Amino acid sequence: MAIATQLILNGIIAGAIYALVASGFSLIYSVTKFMHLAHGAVLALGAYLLYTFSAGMNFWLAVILILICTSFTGVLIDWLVYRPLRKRKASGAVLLIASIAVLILVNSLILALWGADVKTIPTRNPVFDIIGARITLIQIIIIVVSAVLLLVLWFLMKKTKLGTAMRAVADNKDVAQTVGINPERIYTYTFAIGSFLAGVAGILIGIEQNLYPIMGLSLIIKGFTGAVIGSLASVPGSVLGSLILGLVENIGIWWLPSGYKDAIAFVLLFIFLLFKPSGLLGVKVREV
Amino acid sequence: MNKPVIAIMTLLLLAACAPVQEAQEKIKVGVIITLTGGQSNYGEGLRKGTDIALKEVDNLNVIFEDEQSDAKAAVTAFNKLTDVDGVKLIIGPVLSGSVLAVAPLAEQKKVVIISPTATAAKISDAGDYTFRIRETATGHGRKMAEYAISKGWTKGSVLNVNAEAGLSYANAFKDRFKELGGTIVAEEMYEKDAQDMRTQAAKLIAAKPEFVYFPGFAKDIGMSMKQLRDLGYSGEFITTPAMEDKAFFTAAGMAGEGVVYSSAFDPESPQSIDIMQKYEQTYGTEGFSWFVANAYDSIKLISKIVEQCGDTVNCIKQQLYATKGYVGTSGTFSFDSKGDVTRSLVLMQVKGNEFVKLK
Repeated sequence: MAIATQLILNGIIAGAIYALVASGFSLIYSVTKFMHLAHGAVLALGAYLLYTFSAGMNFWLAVILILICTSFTGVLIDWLVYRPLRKRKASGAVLLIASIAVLILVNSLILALWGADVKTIPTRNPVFDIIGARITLIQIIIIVVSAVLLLVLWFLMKKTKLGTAMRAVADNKDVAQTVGINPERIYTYTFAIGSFLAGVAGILIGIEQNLYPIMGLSLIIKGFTGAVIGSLASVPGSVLGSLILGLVENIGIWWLPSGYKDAIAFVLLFIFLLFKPSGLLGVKVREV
Repeated sequence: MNKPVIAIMTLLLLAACAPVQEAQEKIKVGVIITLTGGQSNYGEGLRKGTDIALKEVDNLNVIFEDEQSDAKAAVTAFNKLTDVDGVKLIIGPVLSGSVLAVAPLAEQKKVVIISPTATAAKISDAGDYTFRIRETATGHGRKMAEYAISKGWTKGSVLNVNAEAGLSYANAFKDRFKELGGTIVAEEMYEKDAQDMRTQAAKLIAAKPEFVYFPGFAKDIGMSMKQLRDLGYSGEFITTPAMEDKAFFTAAGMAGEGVVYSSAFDPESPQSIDIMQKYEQTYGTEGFSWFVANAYDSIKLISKIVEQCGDTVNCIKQQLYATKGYVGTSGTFSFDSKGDVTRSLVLMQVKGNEFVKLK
């Protein structure tokens, strides 16, 4: 019994971590229709900033500063890289390659600024017992924050004026423009909110795991997988997909040798790409 | 002829004439180490060891290339060094998987590679041009199995990284442990650079082993130990010299205290004390590990051989095979017919954020 609970809990923890990455990524994808893989690098930047700020600064002040920094970085990447490319009517593939370039660039900057060695953010992290399974405080916070983010994002997209405008741009940029929405401004907001989420993810994952320069790459791969399973273009879908990914990975290796963990994740990805490319919550994506 | 063209031609002529006087004597040596990627922490120690040695030799011209902790990048680095720079002698790569990827190319291009760190058993048969100044994992695995039995433990478990070196340690350990009458109650694995070993840990705990043996890399060994302790495991931890890096302390925290492992580097020998002092003079008290000593010895040994051979590959090979009882800072070693070295091993322990000899 205890083992079953532990396994499910491990799956939920892993899923919540993937969901933190996937939510911002799929928010940006849903509006801009291209894969902003550099999202992982922005996340890593958030984690490293926390490492620097945590030495001697009030924690909450640090959090606010980091969220401002990551939002700003996201917007900056959009302005400096993606916007000029969009102006030249670059295809999704070109933007994807540009985003990989930005990912590598930011990874290298982190390497140059903070060095190659592994870092951890010192925190007190008590362990709790929940019906025979063990979980740390940070892991509980990660699960709660993922759930709250899901609700807030759903509210933002469905109930606010900005959300309506974002959906309008996502649906048809040109029509949106004719009714007075400035798509470029909406893109800026989208990158700001999406990168804000990367900051939240960076802070929490930074505390939970170790920091190393290429952490953004491995995280975005899992976040992307979760998003594809749920639905790339839907934030609730990507959160759901991430949870499923975490659970399947962790419960799967109970029977299979544990070396197959990543294999399970990618087999699941293939199955969805082949049979349900629009993901579980199947929002149809119009190619631009 | 206009002025800029004349200026450029003059510069070219000057450039062609200038460096004739010296630098002809120096032999180009490539160094392929993990400067970035998951095992970049090793690269840091290796680079420092190389730099310390380079201050003491004057016949080598070293060109660094980044292995990126990845076999594909190691191959790219090897090709760049051999095709572009024309190097005949390379120190590296670091990871066993990379060495196995590069070895056939070394054979083909007749370039000598000397890995300062690779430990997988398979490398012994990787070819005539592949050398290493690191002992194989087999001896380490056997030593720790014998240690476990000597402590009266009979129910063991292994949590290893799915990489060449990790598998070599794990297999040698399991074979010897069973041979001596122990039982392996659980074996789990994780992929290189994994951060989440909680489910593997839950499976290990469910099998109730008396101890866990961790063949992995410094960072992930530390993480695994921490996650096992978080999930309530109270048994013993034993591991391999790959954990001897400050990344281990960062990742393991308190969970690393008291861990026992085998090592070829005896910190109490006079040569070891010598390299530790040299390290401290330049880099301070933090961050020393046997990686520094192995890199230092590679450079010093090569410098000595190149003095006699220049960059004649056959001569270098012969000299390497003929090296017996070389007293280096990493210990005394001799090459065998497969380009491997044999070294005696000591038991080490983690005590208060330091690696000390087990008393």
